[in-house]
Amino acid sequence: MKRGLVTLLVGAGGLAVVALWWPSAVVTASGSALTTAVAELAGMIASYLVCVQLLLIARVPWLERAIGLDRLVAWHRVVGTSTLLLVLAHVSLMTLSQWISGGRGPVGAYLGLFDLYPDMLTATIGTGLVLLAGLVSAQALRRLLPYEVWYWTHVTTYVAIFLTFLHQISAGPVFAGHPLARAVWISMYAATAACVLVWRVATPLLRFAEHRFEVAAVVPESPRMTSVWIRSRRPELLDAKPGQFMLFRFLEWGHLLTAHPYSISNVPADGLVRITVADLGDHSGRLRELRPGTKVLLEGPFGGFVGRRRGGSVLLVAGGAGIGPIRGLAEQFARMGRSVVVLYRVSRPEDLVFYGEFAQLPEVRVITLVGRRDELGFDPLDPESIGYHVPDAAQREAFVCGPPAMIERTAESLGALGVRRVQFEELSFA
Amino acid sequence: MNLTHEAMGTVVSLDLRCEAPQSVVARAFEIFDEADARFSPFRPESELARVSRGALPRGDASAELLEVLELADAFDRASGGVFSVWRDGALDANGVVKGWAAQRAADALRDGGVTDFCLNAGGDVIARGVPAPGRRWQAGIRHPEHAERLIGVVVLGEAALATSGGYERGAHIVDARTGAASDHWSSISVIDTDLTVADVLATTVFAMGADGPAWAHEEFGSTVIAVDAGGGLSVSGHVEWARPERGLHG
Amino acid sequence: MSRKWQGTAMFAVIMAGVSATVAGRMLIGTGGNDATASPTAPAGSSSSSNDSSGGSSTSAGDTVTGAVEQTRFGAVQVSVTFSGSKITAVTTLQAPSGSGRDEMLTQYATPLLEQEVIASQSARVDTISGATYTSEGYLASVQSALDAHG
Repeated sequence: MKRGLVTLLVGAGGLAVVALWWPSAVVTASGSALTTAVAELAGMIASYLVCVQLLLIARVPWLERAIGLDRLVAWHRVVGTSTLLLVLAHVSLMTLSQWISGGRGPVGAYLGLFDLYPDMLTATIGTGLVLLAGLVSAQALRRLLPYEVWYWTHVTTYVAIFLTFLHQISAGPVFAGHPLARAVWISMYAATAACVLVWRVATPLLRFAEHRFEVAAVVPESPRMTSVWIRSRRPELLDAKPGQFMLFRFLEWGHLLTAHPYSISNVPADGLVRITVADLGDHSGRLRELRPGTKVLLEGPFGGFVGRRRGGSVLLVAGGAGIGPIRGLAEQFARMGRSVVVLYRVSRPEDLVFYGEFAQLPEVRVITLVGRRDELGFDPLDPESIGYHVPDAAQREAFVCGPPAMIERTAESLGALGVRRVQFEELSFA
Repeated sequence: MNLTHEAMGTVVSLDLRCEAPQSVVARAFEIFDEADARFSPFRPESELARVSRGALPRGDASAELLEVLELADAFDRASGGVFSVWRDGALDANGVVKGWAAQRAADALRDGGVTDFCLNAGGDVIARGVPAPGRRWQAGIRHPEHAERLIGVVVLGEAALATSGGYERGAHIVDARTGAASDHWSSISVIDTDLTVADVLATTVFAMGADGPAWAHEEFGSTVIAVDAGGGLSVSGHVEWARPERGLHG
Repeated sequence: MSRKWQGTAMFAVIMAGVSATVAGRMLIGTGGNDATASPTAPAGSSSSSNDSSGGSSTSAGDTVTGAVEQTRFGAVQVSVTFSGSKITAVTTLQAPSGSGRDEMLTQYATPLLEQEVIASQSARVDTISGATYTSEGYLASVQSALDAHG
């Protein structure tokens, strides 16, 4: 299992860091010596995990294929939390060690570190930036702040990493006077930086040079949903599939500074890719303003639903804007000759989209579930309702796309109905 | 001015950097000759030899001899018997006399008004004052294996430095408790304010083996520069290593 | 376990591992250091682990005390390795207990010491201390050269 392999590699790297630390460490049985040693090793592990963090979201193709972007992002979050805590532990323990041996209280102890180690000022600034980025990424705060704030604090972590890197190799006992160890550490960071530069910077730029992606048309599908058609001049190079998503950076004022993930809502053909996006109040709402001809940088495709079975019938469940990827999948499966049923759940009739398109796919049976639960008096996605509309649900492979709460409920219902193979895509991702 | 004087089977060098009355210098060298005569284990009629074989009661011995024997007893106790002036049932104070004599000679020079000098008694060094204005006395430590090379050069200032090793005179330094030759160290240098202490500690630390430098530093506050049999050097205590000078020096 | 606490759990596991590693390093002592530091590296004072006087021996048995003083700070112990007659490496054996700051400085400052000791070999020498030489030995010694040329 690829996941296990990657976990193993990360663990092996951690052990290598310990092996690097071991020979140079001098640990005596005194409080401050032990505290210092723990602080330094924790700092080295944190630094190593920073590289792991960067690699997880560097868009390395092998990792994307092996793990998938959504899981990589989830891991990035988990590793990020532990890295942050390790950095805090490192700083606290170094300060504590100083405090033990020198007195002068915590602030004095921290300042005392400045006397002992070079590059402490940049390290402090860098650490502050990292803490800020971590704080802003915390789920609780993230929901309150605009996407751009999160994005740009995250970008400053690159600066922060550079600032803190200096103090690592100039002051650590492992590195001072050990050019080989320094070379190893620098190589680790250089390789990570190279991965990021190649796959996050160079690759999208190269791809843009090839495809020259631009907005072909902007189509309002409903009061709150908009489709954007994007054309590539090299259709044969485009390998996006319905159900997958890509990262879009529109090169237009007001859109330039962010790269948003959106799912593909058509079966890409003739170099045309379509996304259908619901207005969620942030960047997604401004897509309607895009003008044809606007250039776009694309990254991906990522994720997506992969049919596990060659044949057999499928059940597609879409909640709200989830109809985008479901629409594309429906057509793809229909073309494959598989029996397709779509459950399309919306709150209000005016939210329904793609009527005309589904009409042109007569082999796809679309069942609309319209209305708010409190008005209906029941949940259209509960097992009885789904079982009523799709009696043979247990024989179908299921794909569910929508907001998190809807996915949870649908998963429960499908489980109760005996549907064995279910895949999910959450819309509020990243 | 450099003067040398043979005594106690070795050579005493005196490097004077100020005016020194001839009489004072002569007295300093005389101290060595007296010590030689009094403490030599090789001359049957020396005072030490006579006390050793019982021909002279201790109570009748000279003040200098008693002083040395008392020092020896103190070191014997402090070192747990590793240092001892008794060997094969006879007294042999060579481990303490050279340093003691050199210290007395240095005191005599200082009392005689000689302010800037460096006295080297067969490798035991004591320095006072300065070699030149703005400078301090610097002493090199001989490499245990290559006589023409140095381990390093320390800034001695006004202090004493003694070195012991198995590489000269052929005699092995033994642990007096066991009589066994000590083979842990290749060279021991001790820096202290007093040359008597430094001299005794240099051989005692050598004989003690691995624990020696720790003991010397903690009991006496001395600095020990040690080279082990494998060539590893370790330092216990405060050492200021000399820096190479740029440009001319005279 | 819920997603939220995975990061914290990972942190806790790592810290436990780090602490265990540090404890293990302390117990194993610096023997490994000497063996791997350089091809010609002998042990500093790595012999028997009996208690020396004073409280500065570690549980690993190194009987170590203070060491080369850093001009502003306390004492550390340094081990210098010869290769032939050239000092090739300086490694820290230990630092005295109770002065963690010095220990930190030791570990950081040791490579600076290497420069000091090696550089001192080229410094001006006024006199030479060595094991007592015989009169004959004196004539062949560097000290006699010093005495002769002043």
